[in-house]
Amino acid sequence: MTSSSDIPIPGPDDDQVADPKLTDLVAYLDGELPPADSEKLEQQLVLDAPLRQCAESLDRTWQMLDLLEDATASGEFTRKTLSSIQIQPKSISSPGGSTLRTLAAKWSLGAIALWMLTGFIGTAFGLLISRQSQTNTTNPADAEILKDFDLLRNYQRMRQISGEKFLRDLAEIPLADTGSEK
Amino acid sequence: MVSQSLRNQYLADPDVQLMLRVSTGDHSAFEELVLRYQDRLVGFFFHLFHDRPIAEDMAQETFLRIFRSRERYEPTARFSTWLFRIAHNLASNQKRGSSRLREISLASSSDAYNLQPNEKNLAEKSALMPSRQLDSLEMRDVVRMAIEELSERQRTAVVLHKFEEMSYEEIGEVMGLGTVAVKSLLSRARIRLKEVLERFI
Repeated sequence: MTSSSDIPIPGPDDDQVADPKLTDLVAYLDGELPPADSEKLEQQLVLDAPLRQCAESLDRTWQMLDLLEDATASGEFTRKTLSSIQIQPKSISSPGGSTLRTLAAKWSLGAIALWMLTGFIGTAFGLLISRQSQTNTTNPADAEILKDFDLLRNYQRMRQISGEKFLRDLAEIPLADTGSEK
Repeated sequence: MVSQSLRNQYLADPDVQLMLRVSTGDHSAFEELVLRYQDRLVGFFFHLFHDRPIAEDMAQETFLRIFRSRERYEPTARFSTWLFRIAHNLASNQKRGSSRLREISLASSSDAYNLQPNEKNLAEKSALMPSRQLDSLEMRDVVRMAIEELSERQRTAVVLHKFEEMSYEEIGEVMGLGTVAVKSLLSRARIRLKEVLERFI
């Protein structure tokens, strides 16, 4: 059995392998050793004075940590923390608060969609009415005038035609024979 | 996905119940959790950083993270274990940031004895011993410096065990280690503390 005085003291490096005996001794002092191992270690402590002394020293230095200054939250801590998360007023922050907020958001989106739809329908309806009115402005008399518009436009030239006979004679005159020019 | 049996295991924890209420939008449950854990969290960070404003900022950040993750919350551990796991991660990130700064600062300084400031102070305190007994404030400084000599992981394990009275298993859950690793970590830490402090007993 190794005496505690022969046990190498590890440095602060985490990667160093700790002595299994000292590891068990610390676990025993921390109440983390299984009952069977604890009993075995207690028997060793009775027999091994340096190991016992090491245990006492480990315990005393551990108690020295009680000298460390402790700190608790300042009086303003709760208020600061809660204001940092911007807690909403009670009426909204109740358990159903998030549901209320979700509903409000949904209503806003619904209202926007409704306004957009109304605008679209209104525009379409306006265009339709405008086209309808353009079509309806032509009364029967105007339609008749429009039908004979070409005749009216060439009225001056048409006046030179003396009568029906002139038109028949005109129709009988053969057109210039383009083939004879060849 | 958390299995139902694992979930049920922690549902008996009243703080888990409070957190489940927070996840459904009950802010009064969150306030209750802040009140229950604020002193413990500030104490935890204070023992690691020895600075009250930093401890309060870190504790506040921990609560903020808890609140932000409320909608994704699944009871996979006791609430305190989950809380301290977040706190431990925050502390590790903070330490990594500050140790980089310290490396730069130490590289630029010219210490004749090439001693870390804590080691130098401990040596000075130790030199006083034969002439007179250290008063309680000086002893407190000595213990604090001895704690600061530990590695970050050892220090965290010591604080969780000594001041939060956590078992090896709980410490393992918080630090992401197995029970055997925690046993070894605490053993090395306590032996190191004994080595530094026994001359002051």
